Amino acid sequence: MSWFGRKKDKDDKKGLREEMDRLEEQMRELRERLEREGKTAYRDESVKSQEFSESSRPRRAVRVDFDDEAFGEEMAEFGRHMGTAGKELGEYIKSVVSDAMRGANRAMRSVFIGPDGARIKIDENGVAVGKSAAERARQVPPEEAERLLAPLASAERIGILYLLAEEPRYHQDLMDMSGLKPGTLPHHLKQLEEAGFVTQERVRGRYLITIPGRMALTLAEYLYNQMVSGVGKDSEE
Amino acid sequence: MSSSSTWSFEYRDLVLGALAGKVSHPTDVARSEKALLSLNEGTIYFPIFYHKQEVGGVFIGYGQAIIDAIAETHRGAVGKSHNFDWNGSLLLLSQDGDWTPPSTSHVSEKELKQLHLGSAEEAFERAQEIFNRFFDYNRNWFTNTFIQRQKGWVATILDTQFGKCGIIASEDRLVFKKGDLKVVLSGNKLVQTEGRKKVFVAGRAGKIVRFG
Repeated sequence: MSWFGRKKDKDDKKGLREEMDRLEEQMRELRERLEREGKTAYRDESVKSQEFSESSRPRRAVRVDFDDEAFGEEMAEFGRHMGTAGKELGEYIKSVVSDAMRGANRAMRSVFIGPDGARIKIDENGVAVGKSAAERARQVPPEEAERLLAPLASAERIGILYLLAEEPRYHQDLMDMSGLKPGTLPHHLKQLEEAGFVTQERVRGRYLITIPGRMALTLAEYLYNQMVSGVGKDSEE
Repeated sequence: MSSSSTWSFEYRDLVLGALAGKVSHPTDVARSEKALLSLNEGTIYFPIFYHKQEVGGVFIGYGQAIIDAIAETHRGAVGKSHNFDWNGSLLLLSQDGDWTPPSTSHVSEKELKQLHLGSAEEAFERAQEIFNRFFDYNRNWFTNTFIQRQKGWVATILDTQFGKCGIIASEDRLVFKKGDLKVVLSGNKLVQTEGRKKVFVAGRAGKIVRFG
């Protein structure tokens, strides 16, 4: 670098230093003025660091003159306003949710996921639409469906599944809690075991609900909720 | 023997004792939350000593095993119970420090012959062979792994039909191998393989992975 170049560089540095001194002076004056007015200025370090994460972002603290009475009246007015607005908002949410549920209900009624995972369309009367869809629906072996569903056709067995869904239980506990007779309980447990809904630990003797058992309970709950929500009634109408 | 939690033994200090007799009535000889071993009446018993204290035994005769390879996941129970009879020999070592030997009675030569053993000496040789075979094959594992455990028991069954079966049971943990079937169970986690193709893994939350 030439002598001229070095001198120019030196002048630039001097100019920058002067500029920084001037800015620091201005900031000092500004800070003093804010403190006189009863406000808190940023701390210099915070401004310089410029760490813009939420936790370290510098925040302005402003003193507020608090008038209890005026504030109370403002809040009362706000409350009255929110009372009306809240009611309107509630009505609006209700209508949106209601629309969404009607749509979901229609979708659930119109599409059924078949045993092979295929989507089968169902019409208003609950009948599979289209030749291929109906054929796919018939692919469910009736004997297999009966084997899976038969254990659910008993209030006692569903009651046992609910007891086991809470926690594994011993035979005596099941008898006490279900109120079933000593001759009846083993019959129901055997049916549930054969269906694969319940398993028994042979060492400790506890009965446990299996993953298919939990799925069976969910299926029973689903059917019940669908009937209660009026799906069956709609088709009758 | 001390039942302190730091108690453990090494295979070098284990000694096979002389014939103690035949099991006088059906007995549950080892039990954990997930496994149970039973002996039939007439099974003969050779105690295994550790510093003159009985810690297990070699049994020749008949019995049953129940293995609950069932994991409790959040979505329901996974796995099944295995229940089988065995006919042959059983080597059992308890790590609990509370081994209770089965009650025995005198065994006659006729009863030994029913077990295909000519005499008490021949029976002892057979038991010694089982004992040596166990430690020949499992010495490193036994020294490095089993003696680290504070509780539980280890058993090897040599059956005339299905061959070898191994069980390690400790509270709700279980390792079980019989033929192609291998099970590792720890509380609500289960890993089960059947041959090279079928692998089954279940986690605490009920997530199940199956291969093959």
